[in-house]
Amino acid sequence: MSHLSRIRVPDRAACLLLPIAAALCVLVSAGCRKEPPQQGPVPASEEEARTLEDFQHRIDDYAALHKKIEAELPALPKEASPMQIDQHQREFGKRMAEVRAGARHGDLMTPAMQALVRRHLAQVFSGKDSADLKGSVMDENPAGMKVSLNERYPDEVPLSTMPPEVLQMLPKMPQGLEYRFVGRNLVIMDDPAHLIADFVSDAIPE
Amino acid sequence: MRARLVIVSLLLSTILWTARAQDGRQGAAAAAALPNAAGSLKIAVLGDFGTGSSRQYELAAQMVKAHGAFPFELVLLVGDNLYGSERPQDFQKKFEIPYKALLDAGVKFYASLGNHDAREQRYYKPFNMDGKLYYSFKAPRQDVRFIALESTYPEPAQIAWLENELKSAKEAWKVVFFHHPLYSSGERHGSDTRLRDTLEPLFLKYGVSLVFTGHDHFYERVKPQKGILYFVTGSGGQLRKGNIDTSTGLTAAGLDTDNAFLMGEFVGDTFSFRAIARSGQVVDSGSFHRRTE
Repeated sequence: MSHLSRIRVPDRAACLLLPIAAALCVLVSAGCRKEPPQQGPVPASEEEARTLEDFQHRIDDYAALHKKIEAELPALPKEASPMQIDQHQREFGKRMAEVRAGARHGDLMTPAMQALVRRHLAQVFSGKDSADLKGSVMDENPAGMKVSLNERYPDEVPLSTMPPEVLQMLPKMPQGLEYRFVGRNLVIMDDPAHLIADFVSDAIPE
Repeated sequence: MRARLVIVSLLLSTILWTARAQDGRQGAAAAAALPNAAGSLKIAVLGDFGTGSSRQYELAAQMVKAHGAFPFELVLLVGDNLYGSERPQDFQKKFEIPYKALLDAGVKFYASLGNHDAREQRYYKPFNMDGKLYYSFKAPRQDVRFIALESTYPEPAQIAWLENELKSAKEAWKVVFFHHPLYSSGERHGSDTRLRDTLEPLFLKYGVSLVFTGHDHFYERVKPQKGILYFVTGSGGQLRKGNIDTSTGLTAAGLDTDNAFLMGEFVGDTFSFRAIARSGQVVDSGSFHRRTE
């Protein structure tokens, strides 16, 4: 019999101690629990931090515009007919393209942000599994498609796969926007509108 | 390894592209096997089907025939539900018409999305996605929870959601379905090791027993990996002939010479399965006991 097993705690004391011990266990386990990592690149300098902050503002502005247009359209029910889905998609795309008629490449992904993305993706794609990672991205990648700002992403063209470690490195997108690769270009896709909102050319190193 | 795989097929651990030369049991008679027990949960699994081709229609006809003898009440779709254009007429041609008899019979389809699918499919009522890219639901009978993932975009928020779902799921069976295979012998695509690195630890930690995927255009039952049984069922309409690479050592059974779908049945801790080809042949069958804590 061990020394510890011979210690007897009076019942009343146990009643007091047990809840305290349980609370401590909860606190300790919460402290040790591995929280999901935050999404987005870790800025390597103050300049990168400013670039990321600026990008976030631009994306927030786009998301606000997206929401405004969405609110003007009849809501798509959670259980919709193909006709409703198609009409909603095309009308959304048409209106977004109209209100962003003057949009230019770099409005969302500024040259500084494009450079930042290339730098960070270069790190991700230079690891020991880089060939495998590239293979995953290029699997059924629509490399032949021309990237055109504010134009409809063709229905016939499959979407590239976005590996977890790539998404982990990119700033989180608001609902309705997604990153995809078209060839080596990274595009920001407005999904409900089926439009390419902006892009980074040659984002993946050769 | 705690799981036990009990193969009751005549084709015990045989590489089943030889199946075309074997067996020959046809249609409903073949489909009627399995336990086909009262009170069981009967399902089908289908992937990479939405082509509108004669192959898709012929396999759909086999599904209808099989349903007559083995009345599965739900179908899990592992993505690439509509290839190419997704206009309203495409939903009809590539889904509603070929599976009309099943839809009319009240069979519910639960979709996950593949790389050929527009995100808006999540609003399409017959796909039962409730407007969500990833979701879970409790089976109408037996102790089973199904979890559908969106594997083309495994962002941190989805992975965190998955972990919460798995952690809080109380069901004995945790079954996950999505498009990209964690294990596959496909020469064209093969195993998605990036996704595997992210998902497999969660599957192992939280007691997932069964995983259904597609993407590679053939049928493959993978030898259990760390106690989990994986199926590739990307042969619902598309077919990549001769694409199973036997050198991977992963294949327990496979068919890459014809289209196929999978039928499954949960009774207690046992999942029984039977894969049916477009020809009506039974190309694989067996049973599997779920992982236990």
